[in-house]
Amino acid sequence: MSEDLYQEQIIEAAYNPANMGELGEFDVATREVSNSCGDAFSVQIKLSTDKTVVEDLKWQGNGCAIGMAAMSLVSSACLKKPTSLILKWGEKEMLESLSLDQISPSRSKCMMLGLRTIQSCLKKL
Amino acid sequence: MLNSKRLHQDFPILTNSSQGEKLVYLDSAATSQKPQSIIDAITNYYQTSNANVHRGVHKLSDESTAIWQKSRETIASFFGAESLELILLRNTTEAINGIAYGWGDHNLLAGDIIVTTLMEHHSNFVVWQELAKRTGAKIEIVAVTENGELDLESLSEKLSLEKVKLLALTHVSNTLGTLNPITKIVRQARELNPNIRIVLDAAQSAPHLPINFKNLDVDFLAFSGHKMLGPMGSGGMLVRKELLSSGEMKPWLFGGGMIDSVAVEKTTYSSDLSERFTAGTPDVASAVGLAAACDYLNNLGMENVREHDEMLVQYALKKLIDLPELTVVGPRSNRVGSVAFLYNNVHAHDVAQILDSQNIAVRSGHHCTMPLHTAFSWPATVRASFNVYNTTEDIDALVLGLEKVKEVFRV
Ligand SMILES: Cc1ncc(COP(=O)(O)O)c(C=O)c1O
Repeated sequence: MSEDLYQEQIIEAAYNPANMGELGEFDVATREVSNSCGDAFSVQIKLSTDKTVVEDLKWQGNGCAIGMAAMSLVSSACLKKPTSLILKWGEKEMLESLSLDQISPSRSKCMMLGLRTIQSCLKKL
Repeated sequence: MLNSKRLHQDFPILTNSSQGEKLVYLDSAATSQKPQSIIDAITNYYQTSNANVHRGVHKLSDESTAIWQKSRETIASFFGAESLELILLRNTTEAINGIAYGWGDHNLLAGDIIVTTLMEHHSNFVVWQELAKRTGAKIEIVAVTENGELDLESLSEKLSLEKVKLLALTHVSNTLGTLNPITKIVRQARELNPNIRIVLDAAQSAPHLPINFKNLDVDFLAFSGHKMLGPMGSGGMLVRKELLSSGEMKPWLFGGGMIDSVAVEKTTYSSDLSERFTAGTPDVASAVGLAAACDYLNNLGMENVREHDEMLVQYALKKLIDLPELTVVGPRSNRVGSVAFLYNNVHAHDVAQILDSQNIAVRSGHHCTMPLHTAFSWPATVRASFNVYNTTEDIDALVLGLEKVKEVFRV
């Protein structure tokens, strides 16, 4: 049943999202829009001096509960992680972080928007 | 009056729900469900009459050709048009693209103006942006009022500009539900500018309103058969015959079937107008299905269909406006086909998902009207849309289903 999507943890993360806001200083920033619903996220990322590790990350935007929860969780997961690792993440990692076994193709787009935004930001480096 | 409860039985997908639970289908603006008679008409064509048209002298080819022509006549006359004015394509989007390639590229010059509106579906918007890029024409956009109606003052202003060559607008908005006063608009446009060409996007009106192409006095009318009980991949447009016979509207798809004679040096195109715009083997089965849909709707009577839609829309408006957690968009009257809303503090996708868990199918998102959503700062909306098989009970189910959103999100 699809309302199982809305576990406590997801609603909690969606309505109290982590790492929302803006950085005073950052190395790269970008904005991504979902073509299916128009939801958009922007991120700012500050990197280690050798540019290989995410030192800090803040994001802004508006989306559905799945999108917001996924962005909240993935943004926390990125902190202090090597960029090379983050670029390898995909749907499997996102499902794990949301404790979901599966998701429909349309909702997968919502779930992936945050990670996609972060990855396209890192690819600008 | 339609007996929707009985009509319901004509639609197998609504009665044999795979989950064993009753399906409440409120997404007919995206595509309608299909009655058994239409499914049968298509199957029957393949079982008894399938052959290519206009190609052979054998009996089956003749039979298929006759069926193709008869289907075209049924569809054209459903819209109050002549068969030669009908160009069958897959949907509204292909039709509007066809107008841009077959008419726009040959008739617009740099600096000419295309007037369209803020409430258009991307199909009646992006096509003109691309045409403008190709020709150097400019686009002027008519505003929408606070309550979701076309801003008629803004329309007059745009239509009074010099070098307006084309007005492209929707009959009914697929997001706001607004029914545009098309008769008045066409009259005004022709008064201000006798040479203007008018494109009417009838994707959301054709399923619900009686349409008479001749009386509407537009030059092009695009429709999607699949939204009016016809098969997927059926749709097309009507083009005023004078534009076809004068050559103002030219073919934009070339190849077999549409030619008169082909020589190495030069090809001439069929003088039979209905052939000139049918390049390649047509989808005869889809035409058969769409003709069966037209027959089905004619049997119901389009006046009854219109009345039924009005009843459902008014009922839905009344019920949904009463819910404090919702903001219903669009005008309160003169609307057709659908009701869209925002749910306070809960995203449209989440609302739709929770409704889906109760077997209620609605659409969520921007419904291919991003400029409109942006102008109103709506992130996304939930849309419930109707067709002849829907009842007030479906709307009651929706209202009840929305209770669950409150529970899950504790709003
Ligand atoms: C007003 C309007 N125009 C055009 C379209 C495009 O129709 P189709 O996808 O069948 O080409 C739609 C469909 O959603 C619509 O609602």
